[in-house]
Amino acid sequence: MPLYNRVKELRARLNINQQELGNMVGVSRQTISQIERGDYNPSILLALKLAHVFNVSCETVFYLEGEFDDE
Amino acid sequence: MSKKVFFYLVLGLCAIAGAIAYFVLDALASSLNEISTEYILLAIGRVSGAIALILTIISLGYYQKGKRLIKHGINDENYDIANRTICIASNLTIVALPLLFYCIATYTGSINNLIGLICLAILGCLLLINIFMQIKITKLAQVLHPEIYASVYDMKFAKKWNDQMDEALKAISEKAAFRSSQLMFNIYPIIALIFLLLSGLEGFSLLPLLVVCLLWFIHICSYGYNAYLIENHPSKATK
Repeated sequence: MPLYNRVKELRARLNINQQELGNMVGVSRQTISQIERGDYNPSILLALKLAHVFNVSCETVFYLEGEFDDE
Repeated sequence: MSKKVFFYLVLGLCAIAGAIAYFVLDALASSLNEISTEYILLAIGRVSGAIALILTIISLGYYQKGKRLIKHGINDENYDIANRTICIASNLTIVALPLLFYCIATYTGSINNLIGLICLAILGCLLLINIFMQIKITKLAQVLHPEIYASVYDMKFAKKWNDQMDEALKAISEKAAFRSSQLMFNIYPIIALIFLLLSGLEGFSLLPLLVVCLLWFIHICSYGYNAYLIENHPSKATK
């Protein structure tokens, strides 16, 4: 089952680029790019870090098909 | 058709194909021996050199494109394009190296005349260009990946590069390594069979077969040992 995410949308809300977000969570720009494209499913640690940066729950950032909850 | 039946069917077909190839090659052995094996090996060397030259030129193009993209500034839109461009440039120079080694090793031109000497010098320059290109491309890749700061001149560069990669890059690296290992494990028996069949021809011996089997043995031992180490002694495996 594919994992979807709202990283790009939430990052745009913070008005930061991929490199800045990568620096905030301690990963490379490529990792952020791959997550946004849906090519890479992050580890639990990274998912939690991203949710913390966006100040939302982990389920808001990452969701499974049919579970999208527009807060 | 179940997977089990399909597996045994492929196994049977491979055995039949192998047997046919053996008999065909045995029947053609005398006529094939008339064509000099050495000539074929040298011709492959020249073709390798030509392919390596083309790859180097294409790689240079990609390198320049990557350099231009980085020079104009990297943003979220062009980052993936720059990354892909540098990745292609890097892979092309890596592929060109073994081809150039073979070409130089099988070079038969006389170094006593000017043309022969120039040809050899060109091949040597091409080899050096590829080595320096790899250094340049790696440095360019480090601009895109500032988290990887290992010096390209470090003798433990590959290990340090791997240690400094983050999780997505490690996942890519592991997937690529696994796929390449799987491919090689499929290719070793095929190459071994080809060399076994060719060993009867003049100019071939059992030595290439031994080399392939040796590489196969080392690869599979290394894979098995590292898989065991990572699974059972992860602390030792990270050293």
